[in-house]
Amino acid sequence: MTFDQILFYVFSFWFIASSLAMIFSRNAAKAVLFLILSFFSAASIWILLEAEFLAITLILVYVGAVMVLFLFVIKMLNIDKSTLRAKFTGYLPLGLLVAAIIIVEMTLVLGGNQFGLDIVTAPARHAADYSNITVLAMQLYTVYVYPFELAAVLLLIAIIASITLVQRNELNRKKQSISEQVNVQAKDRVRLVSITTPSKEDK
Amino acid sequence: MMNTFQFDTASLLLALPEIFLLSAIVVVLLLDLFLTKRFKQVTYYLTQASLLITGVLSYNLIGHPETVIFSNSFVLDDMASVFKVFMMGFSMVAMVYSRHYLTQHSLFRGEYFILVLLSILGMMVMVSGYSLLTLYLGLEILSLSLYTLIAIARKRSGAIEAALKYFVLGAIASGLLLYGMSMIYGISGSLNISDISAFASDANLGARETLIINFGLVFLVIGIAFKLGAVPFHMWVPDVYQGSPTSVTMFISTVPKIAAVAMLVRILVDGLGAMHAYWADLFMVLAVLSIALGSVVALMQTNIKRMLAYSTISHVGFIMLGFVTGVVSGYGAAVFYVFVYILISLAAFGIIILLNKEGFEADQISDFKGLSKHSPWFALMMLAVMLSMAGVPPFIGFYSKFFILQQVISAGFITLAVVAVVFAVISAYYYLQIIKSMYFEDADKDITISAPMDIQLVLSINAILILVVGIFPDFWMKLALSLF
Amino acid sequence: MVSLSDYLILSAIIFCIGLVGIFVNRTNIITLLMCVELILVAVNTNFIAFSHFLGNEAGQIFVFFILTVAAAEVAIGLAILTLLFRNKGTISVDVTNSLKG
Repeated sequence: MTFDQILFYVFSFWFIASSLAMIFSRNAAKAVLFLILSFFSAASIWILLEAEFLAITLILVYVGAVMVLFLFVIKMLNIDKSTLRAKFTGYLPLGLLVAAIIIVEMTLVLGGNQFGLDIVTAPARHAADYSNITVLAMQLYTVYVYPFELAAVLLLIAIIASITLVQRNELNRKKQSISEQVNVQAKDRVRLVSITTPSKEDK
Repeated sequence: MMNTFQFDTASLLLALPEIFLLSAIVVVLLLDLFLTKRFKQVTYYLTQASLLITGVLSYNLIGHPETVIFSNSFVLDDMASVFKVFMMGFSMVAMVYSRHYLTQHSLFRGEYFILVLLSILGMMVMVSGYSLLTLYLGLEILSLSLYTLIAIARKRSGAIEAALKYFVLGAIASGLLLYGMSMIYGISGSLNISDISAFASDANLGARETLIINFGLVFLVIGIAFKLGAVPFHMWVPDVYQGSPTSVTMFISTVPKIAAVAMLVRILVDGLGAMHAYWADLFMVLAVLSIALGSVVALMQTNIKRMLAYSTISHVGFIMLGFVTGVVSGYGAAVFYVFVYILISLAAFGIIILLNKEGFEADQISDFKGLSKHSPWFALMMLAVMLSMAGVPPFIGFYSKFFILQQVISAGFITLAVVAVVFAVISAYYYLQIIKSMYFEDADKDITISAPMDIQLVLSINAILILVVGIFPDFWMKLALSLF
Repeated sequence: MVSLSDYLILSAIIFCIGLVGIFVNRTNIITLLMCVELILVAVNTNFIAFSHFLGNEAGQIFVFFILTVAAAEVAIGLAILTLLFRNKGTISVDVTNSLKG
């Protein structure tokens, strides 16, 4: 076994194990932590594939922002655990069976006959001064400038959507107007009306 | 790397409709912030103006020779331009209907129009997408805007549940689609549709390559079927249609179908056309299941939005049948069907919105009782819409089904055509049910129509078009055929 | 050496774990969203593996955009989830239920 292979199997083991732990975890916060572990393993695998920039991005953006957002929402909503697992066990055996069949089938398609080392040879490692980020940036800002702009639109949608959906002070909400309160005068507050009391003769 | 990159500023002119729309979105977004409540209608008019101008800009590009720009990720051909023009037209009609609904249900907010415009931008990107990457990004721009549009009715838990359902299933569908895309990329080595097409139509394609393309194809077809709402990936359609605010239901069920069909054409016809024999089999199964389930389950519905959802599923089945044929005329018939379906659907939802009153959703079939007595004109229009959906001549819905079946038969799938006709006849029953309650039952509640003139006028034109285009379908059919 | 097929099988396994997770956690929306993330990471691993073995960067660029989209998607998904919680006081919804006919 080469060193590459040992690393690959170690990271793969953690990747698969923590993913399994994530889907079977009964506690949403623990599930997030397991998912973070599997993201770290995925990032390690990506580094083996010489995609350093994306591996770092995965950790910074995903673990640093997205997963924290998950944790934030879990803590904020204070989810009742008992209702969440009501249907859990019923589907489990069937789900595992289907998954096992799919994995076997996919392994047959993706196995050594199609993508083995003799068919797709491993490329030589890049030199030590190879910069993955330069290569990607070169492509991103030239060839992929159109998708790059589209990604900007996507982020704009995310901003508009999350503000539209969760901001609480609606436009027609009743709220204080400080300047009006300060400028109020006695005549605005007290209205003197003359009421004629009905006399006894009317009854 | 650098020397292969070319950027020609003149090519920006070919993307002018998209560029204009994006700029308009930003302007409307900023302007909306400063509009006081009295002037909120300005957002609506600006939206309509942006759609109109974008439509005109796209119309001017019709007839431009097929050009691929932005490093092979954007294509401008007649299909793209014509689709964009139709998208703008249909969206404008949908906006006229929506405004009435939004004002009555106090959902009239500037963000609504901005999200609609953003979703239309996403559809335009999909229609012009010429690489897997741009198609995916366009799809996500569209989907994310639609999820938000549904959830914009923040006080209705039905709408929120619908949004969540749509969101989760849409995200899974995107995941499956991406897995398929990764396989296609892995075997062909490129994301561009033209490279993939060249790779797939290579005569010396080995067994290994064919296997992997087919493997990816299964995931791609599942992803596309999810987005179109074909059986067995339809589970989101009825719930989303029922739960969403009616104006959003109307929008989701109409215009995005053009974009979904465009994505289907770009990936499966333009890209993997050589693999037609493989994906047509999958499509055949999906189409038959959709037509059957859509027609039968719709019979049991009492909610008209849910009924229209199942009716949409069966229409999607017919659209997919057009792609099963594998010939250009079949694809043309499918595109014609999409346009006709949208025209009819818009009118149907327009009438539902017309019956809405302040704080009251007219979404039950029983709400149509006695419409003929109170408003004979709109009852007549609903009659035209329903007969058209059922496929009764001389309405336009007959010709769209007829063209599809004609192509299916000439491609040699006689049994398929027979099955489709049988279920079309079954589906006529529930359309007739609505006609029955309009004409032969008495109203149990007040159904006077108090909608503003603009919606009544546009709705009338929309319904008359169903009849007029039905009398002269040839021109539109030729137009649809010329796109391939 | 590690072959391309090893990477692809790894991501296929993760992909299936994600699908199973969706299947068994049908009512728990937060875990559902995390399963979707798992599926996306599997797809990303696929793209990066292909990109490495093909020697072209397009796959890595695609992953860059998938990460962007996924982050935007999570933001909107969690916003909708928050709304659901405000409306119903729970986040338990069966998203695959369409048995109402």
